[in-house]
Amino acid sequence: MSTITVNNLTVKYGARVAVDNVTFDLPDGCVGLLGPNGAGKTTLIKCLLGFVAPASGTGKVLGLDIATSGLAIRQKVGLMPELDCHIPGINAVTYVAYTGELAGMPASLAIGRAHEVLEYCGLGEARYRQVETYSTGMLQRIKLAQALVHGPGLLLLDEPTNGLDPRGREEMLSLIKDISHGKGVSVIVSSHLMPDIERVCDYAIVMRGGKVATSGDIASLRSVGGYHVEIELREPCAAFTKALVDRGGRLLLEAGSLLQVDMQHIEGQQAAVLFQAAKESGTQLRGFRAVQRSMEDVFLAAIDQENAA
Amino acid sequence: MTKPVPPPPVATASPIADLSYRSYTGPLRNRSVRWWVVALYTIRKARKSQGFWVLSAVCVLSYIFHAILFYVQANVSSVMMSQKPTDYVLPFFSAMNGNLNAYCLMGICMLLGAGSIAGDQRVNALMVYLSKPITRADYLIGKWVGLMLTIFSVAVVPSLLFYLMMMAAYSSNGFFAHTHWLPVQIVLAALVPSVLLSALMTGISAWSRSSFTAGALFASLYILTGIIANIIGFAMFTHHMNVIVMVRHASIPGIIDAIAQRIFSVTITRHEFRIPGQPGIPAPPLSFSLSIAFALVVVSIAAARTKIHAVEVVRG
Repeated sequence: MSTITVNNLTVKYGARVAVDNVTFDLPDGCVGLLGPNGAGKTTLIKCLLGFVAPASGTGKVLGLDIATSGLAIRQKVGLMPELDCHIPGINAVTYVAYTGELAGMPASLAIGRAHEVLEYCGLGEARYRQVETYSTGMLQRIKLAQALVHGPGLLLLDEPTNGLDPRGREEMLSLIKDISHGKGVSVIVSSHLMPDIERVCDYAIVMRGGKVATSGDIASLRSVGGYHVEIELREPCAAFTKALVDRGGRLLLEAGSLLQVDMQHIEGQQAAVLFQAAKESGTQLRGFRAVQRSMEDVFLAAIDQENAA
Repeated sequence: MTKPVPPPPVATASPIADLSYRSYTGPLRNRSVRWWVVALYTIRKARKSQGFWVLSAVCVLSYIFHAILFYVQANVSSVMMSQKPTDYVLPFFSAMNGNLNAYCLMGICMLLGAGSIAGDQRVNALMVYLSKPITRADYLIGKWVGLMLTIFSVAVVPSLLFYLMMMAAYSSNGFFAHTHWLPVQIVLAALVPSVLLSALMTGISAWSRSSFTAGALFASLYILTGIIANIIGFAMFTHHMNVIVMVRHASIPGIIDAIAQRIFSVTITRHEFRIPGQPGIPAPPLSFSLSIAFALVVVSIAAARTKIHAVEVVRG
């Protein structure tokens, strides 16, 4: 089932087009919304929540029309905004419980639920402290907790790892991965940090200049086709490389004992050819696998493609 | 031999013991009462403010003063006060609309209302609030009603307690016989400053970048309109008393005072409204004061609504 379906959606700020005629269909699970600053990611999120009216096009969030069902959508969706948004003078429990009450939870249940989600987000006893005394990492966790408090079916996380140290980032990504896998909550992570998306998402959509540059599941986006093979040898061996090239392989990269070879011309017999070359050169083959691009490469390739078009 | 200390109970029965994520499947309140959550939060916040309690206590002083004054007058005067109904009503009017009470209500409004929307906008909290299933109107009404009820409670509770005290002390002197409608008059007179001041403060707060600016603007508006209207009215060289009366009441404290006079059916005004040589001047017609008050409330709330957005609206 699709969590979000968008058809020819355009969002304008006056004369400036922030989202330009985009069409996509996002599946369940964890989806990454990638793009540089100003790509239109946050505007798209605002439009999906009904904060900004589209200039044209249609969209559905969890089967609800974005033009007519803003409140119903917001009942089922949790938003973790990019900007800090904490009320000074109250503690995290009060803050999260208040947002739960705003979502319609009775006060007694909201306070209990606030404790639960804050514990889940790792605030522990710190949840009784005043919000203004928290570190950036804690503030990010509170933002996540308030998005989760009313039990949304879809979470929209805008730059969730902003300002976090490596450990805090790891913990936040683990939380996101946990929520989005097997908990019945779909998550959309908007970020300009490719490794974050690569780490937690199953599907990605790359935006640039308000348009969708590319989209697809992470595995297929990272795949460069079935012919590029990464080979690891026990030690560098020129004879192995020569044997491979003699059999039709095209050397792409050689870095010590690590090789990347295009084996398009020997489709279907790659493994056999590799073993033959290893035997002939008398070297030990430690492993080989299809080459995968990083999300950064995917992003750059998408941008190059768009520039070329 | 001492008994071994038992291990702490495993809190498996507590929901907090389960640290995994579970979705919320409990009941949800009707969407039409979500504004009340915002109002309730504003009231809770007021209750935690020390300044609010101090100013409320100062308000009560005004009632104590008028209770003592009434007692002295009733006992020193050779004529018992059971003859004229206004003798009983006047202390209530004076206590509720005296300078002390008026400025305390203004102070409470400033203290609690200045940051109500300006503060939320400054810390980007509006985006979080409006990402929940509430409308901009829910938020605005909640903020306004929360502030209004807080001011109303400060205005009405001491007045009603004063009424109960007077009834207990002077019922044998005909107090109850002459003041059947006094509780209703008290409630109406308390509503006027509550509605007007809270609406103005909400509007100003929505248009201000900080609580300080909002408070300063509100105080200036309250005090300066009173002074300016009074000066203009005083300086008008006209024999038309009605015009002078209208001009001198065309200010925020003037409107509140004029409506209260009509509600309590008294003509005594605060000293700054008096015309030299006259003991007091009647209030302008109720329709005049109510029209201005209504217009101010509508404009303030409408103005506030234009500034309440989850995200900054960029045009052009």
